[in-house]
Parts: sequence; C-alpha cells; structure tokens
Amino acid sequence: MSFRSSSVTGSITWNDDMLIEILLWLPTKSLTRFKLVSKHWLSLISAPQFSRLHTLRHLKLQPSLILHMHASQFFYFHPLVDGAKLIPYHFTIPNPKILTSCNGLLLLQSDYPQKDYYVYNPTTKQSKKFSLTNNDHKYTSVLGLNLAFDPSKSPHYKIVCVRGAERSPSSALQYCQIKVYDSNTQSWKLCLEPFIAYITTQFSHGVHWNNAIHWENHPFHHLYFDLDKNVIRSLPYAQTPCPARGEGTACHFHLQESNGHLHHLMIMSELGDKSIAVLELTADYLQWSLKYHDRLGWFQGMFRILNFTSGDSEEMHTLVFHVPGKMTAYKFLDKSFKQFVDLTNQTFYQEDALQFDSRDVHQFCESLAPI
Amino acid sequence: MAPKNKNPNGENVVPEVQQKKTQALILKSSDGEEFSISKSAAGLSVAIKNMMEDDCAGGVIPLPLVDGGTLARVITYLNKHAEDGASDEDKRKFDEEFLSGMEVDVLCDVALAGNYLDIRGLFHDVCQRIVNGMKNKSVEWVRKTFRIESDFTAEEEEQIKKEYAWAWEGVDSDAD
Repeated sequence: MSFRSSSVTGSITWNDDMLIEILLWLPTKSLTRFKLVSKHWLSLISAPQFSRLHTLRHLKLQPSLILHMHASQFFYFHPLVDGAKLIPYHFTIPNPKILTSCNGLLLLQSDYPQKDYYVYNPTTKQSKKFSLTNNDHKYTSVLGLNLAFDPSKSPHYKIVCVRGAERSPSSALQYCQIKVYDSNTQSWKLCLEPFIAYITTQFSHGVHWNNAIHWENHPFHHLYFDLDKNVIRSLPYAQTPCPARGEGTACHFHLQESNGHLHHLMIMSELGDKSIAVLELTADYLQWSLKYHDRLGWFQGMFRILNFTSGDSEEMHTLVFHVPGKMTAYKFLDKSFKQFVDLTNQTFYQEDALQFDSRDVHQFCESLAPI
Repeated sequence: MAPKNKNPNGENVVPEVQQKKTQALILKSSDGEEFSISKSAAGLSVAIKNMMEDDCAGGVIPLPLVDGGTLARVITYLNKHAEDGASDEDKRKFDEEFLSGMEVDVLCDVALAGNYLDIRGLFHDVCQRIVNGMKNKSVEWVRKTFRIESDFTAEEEEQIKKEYAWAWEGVDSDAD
C-alpha cells in the first residue's frame, strides 16, 4: 500500500521498504505518536522486526521519568524539557508496582487480585508475565528482583532474583542465593549459592550497569553481582569529599546508572550547610572519581533528590529535586536552579509536604524493544 | 522537443556545464521534458548506468516515473557530484544548501526519485532531512503532507491518544 500518490500520472509512490527507511530514523516518541497516522503505519511501527531494528539504531536513550504516586497513580515527565508537565500514565496490568527499570524495560509486581510479576515495556505497553521458581525450602524469602537488559549487547533480558535463608532475629548477616532467568532460554538457573550478605543490603533496589547488578549497603560496602562471571563482589568505598572543618556527615546516598555510567550521589551536611557530591565509578571498578561537589548552602528547607540525569554533554547534567509543591532541576554547568513542574494544581498536592522520594521515580527510556 | 533544463524553481536555464569531454545523454521525464546530462554525471545513478550499458535507449533514456521538476533537481545534484575538482567539502556544502530550501513534499519526491534511480547518497541524505522535518510534527501534519486518510474511527483515535498521551508532549504547532 502506498502512502502518497503524486498528481502526475505514473509517478512512483512510496513502498513499505522506503517508508521503513524513514521511520527507522525517527525518535521513539515521534513513532509512538505516528501510530495514529493510519492502521498501516500502526502495523509497520508495531512489527517485531521493525522494533528490533529501531532499538539497535537508537541505543543512546534520553530517559524521561515516571513517578509513582500512591494508589496506582503514575505520571510521566521529562526533566530536561522546559515547561514539563506531569502527564498521567496508565499501565495495562492491574495495580502495578515498579520494582526496577533498565534501558527501556520495567519489572512490575502486581499484588492483587493475586501476586504476579511482569516484564513491561512502558513505551509499547507490551508485557510478559513470569513466575518465580518456588521449589526451594531453604531460601524462602525473596529479597529482591532486578532486571538486566542491554540492547546493544543482546535482545534478551535477564531477571536476577536474590533469595534469603531464614535467620535469627539478632543476626546482622544472612545466607543468600541468586537465581537468574534468561529470556533467551526462558528458564531459571541457579547461579550462586550460598553467599553471605548484611541484612542491610538493599537487594530490592538494584542498579544495572556493565552487565552487573549493584546494591547499596550502608554503612558497609556496596555489593554487585557480575552476570558474566556469576560472582558477587564489593564495590570500592566512596570517600565522602572532605569537609573543610572535618565535621561533615553524609546524610543521603543514592546509586544510579545514567548514560552508561554508575553514579553515586551524596548529600553532605556540614553545620547545616548542605552540599551535593556526584561520584562516578571508573570502568575498572577500582575507584569512584568525584564529578561534582557543589554547595547548596542557601537551599533551605526540606528537599529530596529524585534523579541525576547526565545527557550526552556536560551542559545537560541535571539533578532533579522535590521540594514542597514543586520539582526543581539543578544544572551543574551554571549552578542554576529552575522550577519545572508545579505540583500545587495536582489533586494529590499537600501543602508543605514532601510527597515522594527517589524510590518513587524510575527511568522511562523511550524504546520499542520487544519483550 | 529541444533538450532544456530547469532549476529547482522551475525556470528554464541553460545547462551550466556543457560537457565537452564526455558525451551527453538525454533523460526524458514522465511529462515529456528532456534534459541533457553528461554520461559521467548520469552514471552516478546505478539505474541509469545499467540502462546505458544495455544501450536500449539510443541516447534517450525515458524515465516515465519521474516528473520534470523532480528530474531537474536530481540532475542538479548529479552534475555537482560529477564535477571535476569538486572536493568532498564542496559537495557537502552544496548538498546542505541544495536540500535546505526544499519543502517536505518536494523532499519526498526527490527521495522517491533517488530510490528509483538508485542514487544511495541522495536517498539517504533526503531521508535524513525528511526525518528532521517531521519528528516534532503532529499526526495531522503527517497525514496532510503525505496525503494519507485516517482509517481509524473517532473512538479508536481517542483511545490511542489517551494510551500514549506522553508522546503528544512538545509537538510543533501545525502553523509552522
């Protein structure tokens, strides 16, 4: 079917191959909109082969964010767009909770009517249910589910499930095992058992980077699981940038992957004078290098860091904050603050309150990646 | 009909370079216009080159699927790219200027001709232009520009818009 006919008789018209040539270069957001052009365009853009080619051609993703408010209310917003708005987002599965986000895919848990787990592409709304293996009598509790997906290396994703054995209430340590689901073989495989971890390790908030899952653990060493070698290791300790008077305390930590790097965010408070540090892990896993250390001295009152966005260029490095009634972006380049989302007109708005934190905000990478 | 040439604005012009060293060839458009072009320039089109080798045309190659306006543009492109001594930088600059003045519907015609005549560089560059021109546009703009009738019902349209509301952020106004 042609999509354009010329007024001149006998003129050539677009064939699907040529049209696809153009569509493959369009960003995901435009393509998602252009599904509405006609049923033919919808079928071209939705075809699995097209999705795979498009994913490979658009590996550098500029993440937008998805915010989870209470009661299954979700909002999409883009931290780098001027005049960004909260746009309601609806999942196609009931009562979802976002467990993790990784390069365009989400891992969702739905608690009722029954407990179900899904891999979900929020761009295409394609989803796939998966179930946990339940045949282990020793490692009874699921400590965390994490997703590993890197379309530049493979079209398949992996789900990393950490389980813990029963422990005495007084113990600070716990026996754990790791099972990995591979979407290629569609099966679970036991990859590591046993290993011992502090119960403070935040297995339910893993960060994928470099084909490994990284977990925060304060005040001890962060851990990571290497999916290539099936080993668990600890990350080097990130040194708090030295406060001038030596009395500083780090009061907020946050691990995050952004644009191909693993970042460690810290808020320090020195006699009430606040500063923010962003550290970046070197590719050899040997040390954290300090990228930014900026004073937020005058930034008074309550606030929470939601997300660090590092675009292609330095000028896009932005920190997204939540302060009562609004979201604010801080640009490292010119050290400027900019309010970009006004929350006071939202139905959920509460005066003088912080209503969500970094755990409620997930990366929404626009990608057609098929599941 | 005497061979003539047109610039992209459709005005008749004398062909810039009357090729002396290489033999000329006549390309005939769908609407009967004839254009003179050197064999070396025409040979940059894989399709025309094949036709020249087959020599089925006796010096006149009919292109019944390309109209005169579009063919004139394609020939301007081919002449520049076959020009002796034109550096890659010259050609790049020329391409930039040559394409930047074209509306999307003209670009589409040139892309179709570039594909049909198998001029890969032209087709690729024009596609990039079309992509840049359309990426922030509305669905209505795409339908109008590409002359597509929607075959969705009003309810289906409403449903899709609601499903993917985030993709409607930051769309240019159609008046642009």
